This record gives sequence, structure tokens and C-alpha cells, in this order.
Amino acid sequence: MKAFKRKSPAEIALHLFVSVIFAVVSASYVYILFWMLKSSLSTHTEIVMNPFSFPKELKWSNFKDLVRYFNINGNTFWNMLFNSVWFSVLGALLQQFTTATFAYCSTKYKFFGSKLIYPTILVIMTLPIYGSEGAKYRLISQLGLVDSYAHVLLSIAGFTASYLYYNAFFKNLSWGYAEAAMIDGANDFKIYTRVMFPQATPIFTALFLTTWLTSWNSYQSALVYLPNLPTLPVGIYQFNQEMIYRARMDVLIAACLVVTIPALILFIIFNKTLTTNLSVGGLKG
Amino acid sequence: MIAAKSKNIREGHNKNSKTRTLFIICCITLPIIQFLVFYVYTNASSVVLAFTDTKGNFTFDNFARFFKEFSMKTSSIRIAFKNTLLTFSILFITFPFKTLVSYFLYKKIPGYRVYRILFFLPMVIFSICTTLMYTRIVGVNSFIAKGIGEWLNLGYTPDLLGDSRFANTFIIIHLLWLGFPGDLIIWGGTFARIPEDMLEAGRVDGTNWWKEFTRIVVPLIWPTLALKMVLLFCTVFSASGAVFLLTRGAYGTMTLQAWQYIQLLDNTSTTAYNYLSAVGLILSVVAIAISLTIRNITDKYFSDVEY
Repeated sequence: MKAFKRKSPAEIALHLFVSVIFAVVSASYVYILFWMLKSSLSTHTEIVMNPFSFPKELKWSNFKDLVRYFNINGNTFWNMLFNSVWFSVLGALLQQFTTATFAYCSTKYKFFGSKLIYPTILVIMTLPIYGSEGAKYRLISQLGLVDSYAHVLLSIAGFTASYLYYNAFFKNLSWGYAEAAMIDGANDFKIYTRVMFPQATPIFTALFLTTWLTSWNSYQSALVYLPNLPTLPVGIYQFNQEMIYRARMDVLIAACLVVTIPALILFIIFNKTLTTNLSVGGLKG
Repeated sequence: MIAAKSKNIREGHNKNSKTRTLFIICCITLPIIQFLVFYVYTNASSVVLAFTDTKGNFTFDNFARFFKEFSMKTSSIRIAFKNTLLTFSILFITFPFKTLVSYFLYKKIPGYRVYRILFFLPMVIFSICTTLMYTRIVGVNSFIAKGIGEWLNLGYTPDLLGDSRFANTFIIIHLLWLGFPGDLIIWGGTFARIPEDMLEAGRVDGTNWWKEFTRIVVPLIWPTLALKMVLLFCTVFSASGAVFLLTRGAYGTMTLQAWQYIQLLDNTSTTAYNYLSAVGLILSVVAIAISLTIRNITDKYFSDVEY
């Protein structure tokens, strides 16, 4: 009832109406989770014959079968899980740490070209370039980074949209903290790692989680660049393509559930961090 | 003594001491190399690829092929272009509604805490699973397909994602369904920054919700709104539903994004990307022109608000 305080009857009616619409949409999203859960405990035949019925018997063995039969190009479930963790966690960490450091340096220090960085990023963001994926693939292939664990090094970044968030944050962060640390004898490395960067933890966490989540669920880029080091999403995509031969829809959906659970748990824990720490500003730089 | 030291530090803020120079080099080297190699070099070599054949000889054939295929009504690229513009139009029309979704969450409508979590589910749930479920919701055995078959007196149950008369519509419905919450992360942060006293002042003056939204909130969130608008137009040729997963571009559902991805995926063994680069170059020129125009309009008619 607190939400209704000082609201006109028309506004209350509108809010209730919107809430009903939101409830319907939300319920449909929750149903996806429910469907995934119940299908992962059904038999293949049950899913094919009547995908929306409840299983007669909960088939927990699907998860055992997932570990046993989920095999793509000689990669087991555990290989794919390792690849997923390697590329998504390490990739997101590398991307966000290098971008945050780059933004801090270009915001707080003056060096040749430092004033050009912000406008360059705005230009990159607002001037779309299409069709360069082919050239990028050729280059990455020539560098030997296709089907390689070193592919994660491509996550090193600076000129990304995340820069704008870090830039806004560090711009507003007082240099007084650094001065105080300098008086105590800290050098620039210590000032950044022990004083300035820790203050950016909420924004870093929000951006790390967003990047990780995108990478964890993404199959498209990994399908092109890491066909023989498949991540779980790539494995699921390829397993789905081969479904016609394997006829194990139950195992496929169990795999989908396994991919979704870590993302769901982290998202629930960090929901507030994600929704309140990020906002972007104007274009004029 | 501390004061003197502090003064020296402030004076030395712009000095290039060895440690400071080393620190700056460590911070900027990798991002700059990455930018030069994977943005500047990649895009430059993409332009070169567009003007060469597979043997590396200079040619305009890739562009000629594009215009020839584009002139044919049934060509894949023409269909992709048409579907992309259709998808973009829908994204453009729904853009204000998606902003309103975040606005109502910010206004703490009943249940907002729950919606704020549940609306992230499309981002959290693995996309293949949502498409698997969706293909069953609209599949041949579904009541939706049966209902449409009866409603149109087809005499049979249509495969809604396997029939060119329906496939596009149902890809867009899938896009609208999962895209309903919009960009909650950006809007959540933006709305959270609005000073409560400004809204309070409006309330005292008796403004209703629509006036509050259009006359107080929109001007305050204008910088983000303008940026989002420009970014939307920047990605005009990336507008696409889950075409790759739902139909792989078959049944007249191809979009430019799906077409480019399929070209990339299907050519990894030959790395013959000349045509892809040429099409990309044409799209880039058009998109850059659109993007600059939209940016000029947003800069000319609306100004940023400081608060």
C-alpha cells in the first residue's frame, strides 16, 4: 500500500493495469524456466509427443546421461564446461580490467592523444561498420587464434562502450584520494590498484557480470572461432543440430538447464548491482 | 613538511616521472594495440577485400554482384534487406514502449521488485532453450497453429515457422515477446539518477503521470534517450530476430545480420569473404549517413540537461 501513497485514483488504476500486463509477461518468462525444468526430467518421447504435459515419472537420469552422452567432436561435457568457464570468466575479467585501467589512465593522466580517446570511442560507437567479420576471421586465423585457448586474449579491450561508464566514474572521483596515498609514499601502480580501482568495484562488478552473462550464453562467435574447443552453448547448438540422429531431446534440455542455472543464481544475487550502477550520458563528449 | 610534500605532489601531477611514464605505458599499450589491429587494420583490410577477388586482383565485381542480386526480387539479399527494415521499424516503434516499461518499474508499480528480476530472464535463459520452447508453442501440433489453420480455412494445420506466409510474423512475435522489457540495465541506472525533488515539485503542481513523464522525466533522461536513439539507428542493418536459430533464414525470413553470419560460418574453410566485405561496405556507407543525420537532429533540436 506504500506505493499508492499520494497517488490519484486514475494513477492507481493505471499502475494496476500496467502491473497486470507485466504479470502476464513475467509469468510467460517464468514458464520458460518451468518448461525447461520439467522437460529436463521427461523422456524424449514425452517431449516430442506432448511438449507441455508433465512427465509421468521424473527422469533424473537425464543429468547422468548428459555427462555420458553429451559429446561434441570428442569433447565431453566437462571439457565444454571448462571451455565455457575459461572463455567467459577470463574473457570478461580481461575485457573489464583493461578497459577500466585504460579509462582511469586517460581520465586522470595527461599524455599524447589522451584527449582523443573519448571522442574516438563515441565515433566508433555511433559510426556503424558492417561486413568486417570476414577480414577479422582471416586475421585471427593467421594469428593462430582459431581453436586456441589463447583466443581469450582477444578480450583485451579499451575502446568499448564500457569505457564510457568507467570514464564517467573516474572523472567524478576526487584526485584527493591519490594525493593522500602519494603523501604516504604510494606510486601510481599502488594508487590505482589499492586506492582508485577498489572504489570502482560496484561498476566493475556490474559490467563484468553483463559481459560474462553475454559470453556465457553466446554460441555465435564461439561457433565460428572455436569449433573444436566448444563451449557449452556451442555444444548445445551442435547437439541440437544432430538431434535428428540422436533423438535425445531430454538430454538437450537438461544441458540448457545446466547452462542457465549459474547465470540465474548470479543474476539473483547481483540483481541490484546490475540495475542501479549503469547509466550512459550524452553524445557531445 | 606534509604540506610541502603535498604541494610537490600536486605540482608533479603532470610531470613525467619514470614510474608514471611506465604506469601510463602499461595502462594504454594493450588497448591501443588491440584497437589498431582489430579495429583499424581489420576494417581497412575489409575495404581492400571488398575491392578484390579471391586471388587478390582489383575488381568491382563484388559490388556489381550486389546490385545485380539486389535488383532480383527473390534474391536472398533483397529479402534480407526487406526483412531487416521491417524488423527495424518494429524496434523503432516499440522503443518508446520499452522506455515506459522501465519508467513504470521506477515508479514502483505493484510488484515492481518481482518484475525487475523476472524481466531479466530472457537475458539469463539460454537462447536455444527459449527457441526450442517457442518452436513447440507455434509448432504444427500446437493449438495456435491449429487455430490459425481453422481461422483461415486452410484445411490443414500450417507449420508457422516453416511456411513463408507466417514465418516472418512469428519471428517478430518471438522478438517482441522476449524484447518486451527493453534495456533494463541502462534505463534502471538512468531513472535511478533522477532527483526525487524534481518529481515532487511536479506533483505539488498537480501534474499527472503523462505530463510528469513527457515534461519532467524525458528532458532529464534526454542524454541517454538521444544516445540510445542514435545507437538504434546505427544498428539499423543489424535489426533481426532469432532468425538463425528459428529458421536459419529459410521461408523468406532472412535478415542482413543472419545473412552475414551465415556467410561467415559457411566460408571458414575457404575464407572467401570478398562479397561479404563489399556488402558490408555498402551497408556501412548508408548506415553512417543515417547515423550522422540522426545525431545532427538530436543535437540541433534538443540539448543535454545537467542535474
